[in-house]
Amino acid sequence: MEQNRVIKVSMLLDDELNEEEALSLLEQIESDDGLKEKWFRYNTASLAIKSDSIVVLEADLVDKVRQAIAREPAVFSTPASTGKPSRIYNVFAGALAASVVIVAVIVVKQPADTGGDAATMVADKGVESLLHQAQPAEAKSSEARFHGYLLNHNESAYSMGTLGMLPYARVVSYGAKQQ
Amino acid sequence: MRYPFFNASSRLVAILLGCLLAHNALAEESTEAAAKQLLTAMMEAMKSLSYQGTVAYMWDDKIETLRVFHAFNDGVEQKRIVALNTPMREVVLNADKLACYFPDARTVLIENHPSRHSFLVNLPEDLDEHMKQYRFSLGGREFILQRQAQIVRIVPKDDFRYKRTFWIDLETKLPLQFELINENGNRVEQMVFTSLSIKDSIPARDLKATTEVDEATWQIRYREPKPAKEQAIEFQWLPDGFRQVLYTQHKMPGSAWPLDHVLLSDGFASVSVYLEKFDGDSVPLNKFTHGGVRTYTKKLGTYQITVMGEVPAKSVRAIGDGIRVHAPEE
Repeated sequence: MEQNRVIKVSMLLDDELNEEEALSLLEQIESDDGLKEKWFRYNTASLAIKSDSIVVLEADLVDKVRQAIAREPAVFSTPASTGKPSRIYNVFAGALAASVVIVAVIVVKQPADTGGDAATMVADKGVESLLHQAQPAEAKSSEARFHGYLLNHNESAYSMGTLGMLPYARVVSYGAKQQ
Repeated sequence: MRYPFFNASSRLVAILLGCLLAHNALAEESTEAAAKQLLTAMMEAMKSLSYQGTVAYMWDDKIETLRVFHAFNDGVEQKRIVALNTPMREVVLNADKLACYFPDARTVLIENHPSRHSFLVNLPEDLDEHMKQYRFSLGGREFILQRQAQIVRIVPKDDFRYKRTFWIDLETKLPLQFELINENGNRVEQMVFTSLSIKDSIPARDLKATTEVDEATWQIRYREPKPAKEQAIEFQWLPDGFRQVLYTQHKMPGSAWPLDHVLLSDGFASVSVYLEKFDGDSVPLNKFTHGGVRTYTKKLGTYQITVMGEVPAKSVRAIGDGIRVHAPEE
């Protein structure tokens, strides 16, 4: 029985369950700490392997990532034709994202280590969207409304030239589904 | 006359103190002028240089990595910013058309003739107009991306707004790092270039949207401002320097009523006010935040008012509590 549920967790991550089974399993995950732990572990590993997504399961992780960023090779280059000193480093655009994943995977802990409350964890969009499915409709509605308002605020503020910093950084990076 | 020495000394001390204060005031004025000059140069550099880079954008305890492309050819700006991670949202400005692609929501927002502002940092054109609310100052110099950067601070004179700090590259004048600091001195948002290249030109392919829009399944939205006289929101009080810059209406998914939206700004910070008619219970959003963005929700009769913006919680509350709703003019 337990083995079946673990297999289903794996199938859920591979998107192999139908909607009814997925919702049923997510309900079980919400109420079963052991299953929740497995789900987070599998999901974290899956995300780290499959993508450049950021998985943050520790409150102080961001500081560690900031430190990692500070250690990243600095890259600044100017056109050769300007005649100015040029510092060109052979790195690729995803270097930061890759390093972030590496740091994240190293410091990932089990839910029990962070207080065991999945709701307090910060996860990436993949994790978040799955969590949303298990949230009460009211919470989903509030969050969807907030994100709709926020997106609209950022778009309008940018187009009117009134948003100070990285106006569209917020637009392209806000953390949950809009609707 | 009993203590001529002390009288003379006192006068001398007073004169010296006066000179010192005047000198400090002049020095402060000078550093403020230099700070404003550098910020103005930064705005010009962001507009007139062609560059591309990778930016780490941090808010709360999250990090997003973005690619930024900016080209300036024959007086025309082209820009593209794209998130490197799922859901790969991107924003493209080409000539007079701004398009925001949201693959997760299968939506593209199109705006014709958008204002010409930077993708990175927007500041008011005339900083002198905002000296009643903000103080500008120079900090030290630090190395970012192995480039020498000058620190410039924009500090509010009251507690209705946040502090901003820039690290401006001394050679190119581009902002290499930026921080938004809340009323408690905590950094709530930060952007830092992790790579940056100044180019003679940016390849056309890097300035084009990579998102494919299927018009059959995607929603294409257009935004049109509406005359302020039609709005039902009235402000009884606003923090000093804030003024209304936009009124528009939207249709929210699942709602039968239009959503009224008013945008306020003091030139640096922006605050949105939403008015929505509700049949049932309101949906309080006070607990939601995003970086420096704070939210306040209030029920007024059959309406719900939501105020959100990158200002302290006390500001969104004060603005929300000063709102009245009236029937718009026909």
